[in-house]
Amino acid sequence: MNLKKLPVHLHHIGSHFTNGLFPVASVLLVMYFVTGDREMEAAAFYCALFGTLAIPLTYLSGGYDWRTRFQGRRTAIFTHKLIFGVLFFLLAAGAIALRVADPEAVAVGGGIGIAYASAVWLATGCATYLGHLGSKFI
Amino acid sequence: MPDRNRIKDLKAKIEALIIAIPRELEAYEYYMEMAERYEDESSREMFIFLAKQELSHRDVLEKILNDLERALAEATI
Repeated sequence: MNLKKLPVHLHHIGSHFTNGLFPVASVLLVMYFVTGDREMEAAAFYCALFGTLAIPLTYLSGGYDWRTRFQGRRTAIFTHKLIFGVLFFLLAAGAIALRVADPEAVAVGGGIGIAYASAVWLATGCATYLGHLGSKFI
Repeated sequence: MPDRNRIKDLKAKIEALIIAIPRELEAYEYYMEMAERYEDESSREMFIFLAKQELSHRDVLEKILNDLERALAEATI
């Protein structure tokens, strides 16, 4: 592997982690609400957790890629990537924080459960949009 | 009064070129890697020819990009 291209590859790897795991977390949460099966909820949490853990790698490698390949130029697509990237991280980290703080409250439902599920679903929307933007560079 | 549609159009074109230019350079690097991989002269020559084509594409795109950026600067005055 050409090491000069490693940050670009890292960005692709990291973004595929998040873009793959968050939709699965969203679907598993829907299945949990439909079936009431706690294993679905736990699986959704771990998908969201590993997806969130991949975000810092994706940000750093993406920032490096932007500064080197694109000379840090500011255009609409990079601005959108930055804004939705930050929003995605806030939603994902917020969802994880809620679930870690009180797993039972999330599992039972109510306000915290709705906030958690909403954050995961909105984060999935952000990840999808970011993936759409990323596809323009391929 | 700046023409908003023209500015929007110029920005979209500039963005397309900013995305396209690194691709030309990557294609150049790819063909050069391929040229190094082959020992027979005809293959090496072919890949070096293709690599040079990519570099000339990049030069053309950079020239167009400079022209568009100049046009954008004038349009925003």
